Amino acid sequence: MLIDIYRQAYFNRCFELKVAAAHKQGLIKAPIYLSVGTEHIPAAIADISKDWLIFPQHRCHSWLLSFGADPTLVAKELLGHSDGLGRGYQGSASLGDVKLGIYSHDGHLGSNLPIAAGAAHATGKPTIVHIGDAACEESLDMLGYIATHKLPVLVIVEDNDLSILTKTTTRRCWKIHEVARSLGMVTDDIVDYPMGIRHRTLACWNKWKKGEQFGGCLLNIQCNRFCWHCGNVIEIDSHKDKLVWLKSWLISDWDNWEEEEEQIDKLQLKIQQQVDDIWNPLIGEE
Amino acid sequence: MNLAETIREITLNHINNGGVLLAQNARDNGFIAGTVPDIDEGVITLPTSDYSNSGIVAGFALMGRRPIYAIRYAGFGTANYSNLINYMAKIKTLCPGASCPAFVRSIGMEGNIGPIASHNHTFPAHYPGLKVFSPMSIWEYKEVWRKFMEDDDPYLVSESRKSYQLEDELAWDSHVKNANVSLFLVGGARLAQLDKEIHATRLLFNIFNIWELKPLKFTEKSLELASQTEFSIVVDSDYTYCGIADSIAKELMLQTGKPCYSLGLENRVAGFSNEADVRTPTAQQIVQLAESIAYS
Repeated sequence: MLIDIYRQAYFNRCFELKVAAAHKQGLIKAPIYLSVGTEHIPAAIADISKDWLIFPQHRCHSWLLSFGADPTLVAKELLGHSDGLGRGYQGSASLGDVKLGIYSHDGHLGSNLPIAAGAAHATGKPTIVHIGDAACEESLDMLGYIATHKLPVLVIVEDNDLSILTKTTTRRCWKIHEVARSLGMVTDDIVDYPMGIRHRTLACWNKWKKGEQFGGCLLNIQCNRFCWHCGNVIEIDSHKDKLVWLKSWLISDWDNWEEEEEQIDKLQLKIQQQVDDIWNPLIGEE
Repeated sequence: MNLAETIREITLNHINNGGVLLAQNARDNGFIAGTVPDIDEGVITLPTSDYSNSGIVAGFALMGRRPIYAIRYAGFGTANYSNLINYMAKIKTLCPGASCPAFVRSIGMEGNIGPIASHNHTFPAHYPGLKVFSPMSIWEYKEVWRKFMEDDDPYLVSESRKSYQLEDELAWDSHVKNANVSLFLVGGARLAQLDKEIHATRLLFNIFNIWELKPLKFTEKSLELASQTEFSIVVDSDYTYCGIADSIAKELMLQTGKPCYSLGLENRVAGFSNEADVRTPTAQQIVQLAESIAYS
């Protein structure tokens, strides 16, 4: 289980670093919103089901990659190619792939919440809204709508405590999971350890699959963004990096940790090669 | 059968075929001027959340339910149009394979509604990706509905409460020999043609009705006859400044080679008192403007 999460999260990380490098070289002209630091969040839940409707917002590269989007098409889209995932319209902020049930965001913060609520209401399908701790301030009324109609919506708030550089406490005196709970949703406020995210998501999924009706879920995930709001500047703090944490947890036998670490290093090299194979032909590198 | 009953019937048939109607106060008896069928299934009462509600509608549309969304006062459109113009209108281009065909009814009044003013079809018409209509008769309404059901674009349908009781069709091209002026009537302003006062002048009017606003459609005959009059006036029930009436007037000038003027809501904040209200131009006001231009 953990190895699968790690494999996808590490793939997402390598991909994001390539995006940053391509942006730095001027090969990507459009603004980019990297998910460095949160790559493991979608990776932790992607294998639960492919039947979700998903409404991501910007900083969504890892969501697309984890839920099955063709990484070559994503790379082409970011590079602005007309044969990219969105024919050059989606860029970084509005990635979507209808075949996978992933619907583009229009760029207006928080707009994906009411649209997702409508989609869930229309179909009864389990639906994920990926939203930031600032964007969730936009559509609080929709948490009430989800609860009122007992819609199968899981709102995942990636809470890095920042709106660009403005801290949450500067913006508001309330906590999103407390507000959502007061409206009738099942909520939790957790640190971004992959298994915690996975267990809570799985619990929601299983209830919905059994036909249980309740007021939707909101998961506030305290996470770290190791990149600037927009652009290619990355500052990874290895003490907070859940990829580092995941790697250490993959070592099950500490008597043979060197051997096990070598295996993981090999896996990393293999994944890096996969990502290079996608990007290098597109950006003219050997 | 009048227009309100026609809308109710169209809605009922749509719901019976898997469609849905969403609105605030949707189940309040007669609240949306008797245009909502008296059934529970398929009629969804939305919360008083104008900004977000259009997002819910977008979600229904995205999932293929072809929602009808009734905005009970057109003035509320300024809050409701966000997801119409930013999401529904864009998603087909943005996300291959996705589309948001929603039938958004913006219900205008001809005054008496204070600061939320009257019709509101100009604002969404600025933006690409959606179509705008203003049907005032039963035939026109059915025609807009037919087009919608064959289309995957979102529709903004600008309605007038005053038209709901109409049973007869409004003539499209009403022309007279040796007419001096061509009037192109839009939205709620079209009802002025039913007022006898419109003929209380020595001027002779051709009267043309425009209900397909975006894409804009004139009849060939109206263009031909307008080019034979001294000038034209476009009369609308929305503000003219940077508005649809001004755009239509410009297009008419280019196509007829004759001067064209616009008349619509006065560009000032509306209030509730008689003096403060901002109303759709009356037949008298239309005649007044035509005479002032003709005899100046």
